[in-house]
Amino acid sequence: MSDVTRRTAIAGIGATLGVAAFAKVMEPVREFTKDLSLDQFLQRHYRELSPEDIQGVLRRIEEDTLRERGARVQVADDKPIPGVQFGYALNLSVCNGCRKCAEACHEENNHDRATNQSYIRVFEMEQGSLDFEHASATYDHAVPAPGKYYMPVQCQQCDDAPCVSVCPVEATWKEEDGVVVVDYDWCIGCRYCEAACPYHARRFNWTKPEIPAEEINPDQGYLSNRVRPQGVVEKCHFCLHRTRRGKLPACAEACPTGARVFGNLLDPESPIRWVLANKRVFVLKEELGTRPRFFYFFDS
Amino acid sequence: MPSQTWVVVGFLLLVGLAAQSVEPASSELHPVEIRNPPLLGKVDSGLRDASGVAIGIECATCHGPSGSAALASEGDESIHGEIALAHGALACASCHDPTDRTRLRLADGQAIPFAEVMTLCGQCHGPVLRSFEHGAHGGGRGHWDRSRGPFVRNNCVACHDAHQPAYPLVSPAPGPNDRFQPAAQNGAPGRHGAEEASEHE
Repeated sequence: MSDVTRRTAIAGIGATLGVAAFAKVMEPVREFTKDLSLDQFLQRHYRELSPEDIQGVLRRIEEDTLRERGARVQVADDKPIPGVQFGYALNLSVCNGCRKCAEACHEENNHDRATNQSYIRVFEMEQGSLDFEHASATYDHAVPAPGKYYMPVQCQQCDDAPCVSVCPVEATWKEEDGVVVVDYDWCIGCRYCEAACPYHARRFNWTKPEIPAEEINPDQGYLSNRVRPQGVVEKCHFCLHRTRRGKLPACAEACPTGARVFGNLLDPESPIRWVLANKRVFVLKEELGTRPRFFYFFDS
Repeated sequence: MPSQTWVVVGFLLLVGLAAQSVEPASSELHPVEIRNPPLLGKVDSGLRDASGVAIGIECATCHGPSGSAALASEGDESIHGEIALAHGALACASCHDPTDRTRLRLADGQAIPFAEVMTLCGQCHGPVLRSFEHGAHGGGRGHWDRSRGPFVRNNCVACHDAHQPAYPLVSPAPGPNDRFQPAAQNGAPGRHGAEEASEHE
């Protein structure tokens, strides 16, 4: 008799513990889905979406942004322009390390305010060296400092991009105009790409990006500067919501020294082609064979 | 036979339409505009108008044909004592036309308007002028694709002070606060505070 009672009691305790443990195990999933609508969960990969699907997704993102952040935004889906291959060149002889480019990127691309995040990291290095290990990206003194030079580094939009080939879910790829993009709704946040990038150009959203509603840039793109969800990777996209409409990227417009030259590599009359043909040009970590679209040059 | 003819005519029409729609984009380019600073060729009076725009004084106000003020190497303390020349061995008349202060003067004596300052600077800074002419110096705003909009460029004195052309020291915009690069230098607090930041050093 007492045996049966004991057995029942243990079974009862076991069942209770089991239910509690299951609830505990499922807790992260419940928290995870709090910010994730069913539509978003069932959404297909960007490149499998029909034009009608994409319009639906864009409208949903606009509605979500209005509801969750109180900001009225327009999310577009600008496609690559036929006959255009983007390239970017930066003049190390005139860059003075003022970080205006990083600041403009921060504002244009709706980065998290607390981390002061930006797709551009400006390295201060000893003249005559190219050593990122002994460089500073957090210098805070009048620039240019004596004996130093400054090298802004952002995504190099490699033609053979290691970040793309390591992605286990194909959430990142190279577009026809050369821009490497991320489908933030497909990224699983494994950060393989961040580890693979030799330029430290990718950023991970550890927290949900916080931006005051009035500071959110309403001119947004699906593959570019829409406010990213938590737990996904992001990167420089050459401001494709601007550049695919013929405009310059935000960092190029912000540069007070005129160090940045942006344009179409297929246009023989473009400034960038003149730079590549006439200046001393190099690419970063050429030996890795990543074939960057981002070039550095000197005046003399 | 008539149906075949119509097909050919229709095809030709289509080709014609396609050619027409492509042509304007390539032939009608928006201009390259040169941005001049608001006080180009004027002296800052230090006064601002009702909307906060700086009021400039035309050089000819004092230095005009009937004006008596000399064009000396030393600045006139009374109105533009702030003009301290630190530009090689140049004197005022190296660039300004002493007979017409509303214009600049090239080394060969030819007078040019202030807006054409690039030609003047290019007399000594040839490689820079060459880069400028090819869009590789001076930056700009607007459109890389001029079939869609203008490209607005800076002229030399929009960025450089002609009298002290060396680019000044500036305070940089704030750096990143991310977890790999806490603001360590100068004790600026990073996201995890200055103490942890110094441990990472």
